[in-house]
Amino acid sequence: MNAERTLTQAMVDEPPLGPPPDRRLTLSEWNARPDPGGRICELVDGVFEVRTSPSAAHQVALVELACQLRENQIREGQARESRLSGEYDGWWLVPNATVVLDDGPTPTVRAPDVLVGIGPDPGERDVAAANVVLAVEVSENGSRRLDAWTKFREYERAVIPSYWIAALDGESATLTTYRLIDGTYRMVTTGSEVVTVSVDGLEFTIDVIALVSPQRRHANRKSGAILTRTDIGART
Amino acid sequence: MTAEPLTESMVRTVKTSVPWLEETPPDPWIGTSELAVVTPTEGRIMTTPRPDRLLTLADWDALPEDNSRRYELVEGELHIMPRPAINHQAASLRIGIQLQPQLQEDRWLVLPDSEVVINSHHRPTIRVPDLAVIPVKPGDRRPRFDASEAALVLEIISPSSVHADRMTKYDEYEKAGIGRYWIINLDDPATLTAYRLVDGKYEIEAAGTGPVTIEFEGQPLTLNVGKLTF
Repeated sequence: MNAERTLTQAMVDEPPLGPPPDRRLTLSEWNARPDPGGRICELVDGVFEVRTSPSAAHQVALVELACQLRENQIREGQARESRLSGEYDGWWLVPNATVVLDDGPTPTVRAPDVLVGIGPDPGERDVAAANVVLAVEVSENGSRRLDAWTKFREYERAVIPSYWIAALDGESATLTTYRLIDGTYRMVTTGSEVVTVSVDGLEFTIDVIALVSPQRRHANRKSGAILTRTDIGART
Repeated sequence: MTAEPLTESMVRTVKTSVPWLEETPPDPWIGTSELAVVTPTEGRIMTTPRPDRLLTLADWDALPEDNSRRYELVEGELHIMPRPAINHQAASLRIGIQLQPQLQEDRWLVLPDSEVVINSHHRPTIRVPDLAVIPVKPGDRRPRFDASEAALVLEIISPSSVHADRMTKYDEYEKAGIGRYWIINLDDPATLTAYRLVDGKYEIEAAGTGPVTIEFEGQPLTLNVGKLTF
């Protein structure tokens, strides 16, 4: 991807998305939206918003974080299954899916970088906030207020049990995790190296350095460090 | 990152026919004549630009004029909002009419829908508060003012579930150090919540549904909130 890319005709919005609606939308109008052609759309207090495409660094960190979450899910899911000596429903994980945070007269629908939920896989429509256990945002320098303030409050109102912000800052990254306690997010952990946090009773270990370091990712994959970090047998 | 500014030629001009827009007329995704600016000379419509990258202040300046929407720049992203409703605009005018005579005309300007720069650096933010009070500079022809100049900004919210003004803008105005932030809620009965910056944090200075008075620059400043709706 060319970091020096300049604005060309193709980057200016293509039909059929067309011009933005001239009023606040209801949920059914949102559901009737045209195919956004790869752009991420959100509805904020009924206002239709098209997000700017994230940077390559953001996407690399997002994929890495999603992979680690998935590895943790598999490992912890197996652990829980053996503990419960029954079938474990499993978790789903989905990047950039839209979740309805407010279905009132001026609805809000956001597309968090990663959504983690329990139960049947989400369908084609927006995910219901009630099915989400964790929302994750990868935050770049400059989008901090949106993630750390606006979305923070929105997810809190929507009663999403856990919220993580992975803030990228050049060569380093910081993962801060919040858990909903009596209707407000309280910080659980924060760290720039390896962060361990429990979500819905499952223990997640995230290598934060790997979000920004290709060498670290390579080393982890070679050694299987993250996947084998917890001894599954010892936990049962 | 270097990037060309937006130019006129990058703004797509299209014919009035947009196939997917023509099936069900009351749909908000349709109504081409309302959704786009018609250039009178060519009888063609210009769609509102929706650039797929973060904008700089220079890009913002180069945006084509479009009075069909409200624009703000939020951390480099172009936010395009619907124009405010009639009751909102009527209230805004009524507030301005009440406030300006109480402020010394040669010292304070009450400005409707003007741009305030919250952050001009990397990923800039420009907001357009419903009303702002800034000091008079004779013959001021600038397109916008800096947040540090604003003595008071005011946002009118309606309907009741709109959170942006109470959350995001609150935080932005607070961090930008704007001395006073007033939020008017037009849901019946209309209310004013007046915040004042104390040690970098907004604190409620006054609130009410009728006449609300604060002290502004040594003078009382009153807004009768009961006279904003109809």
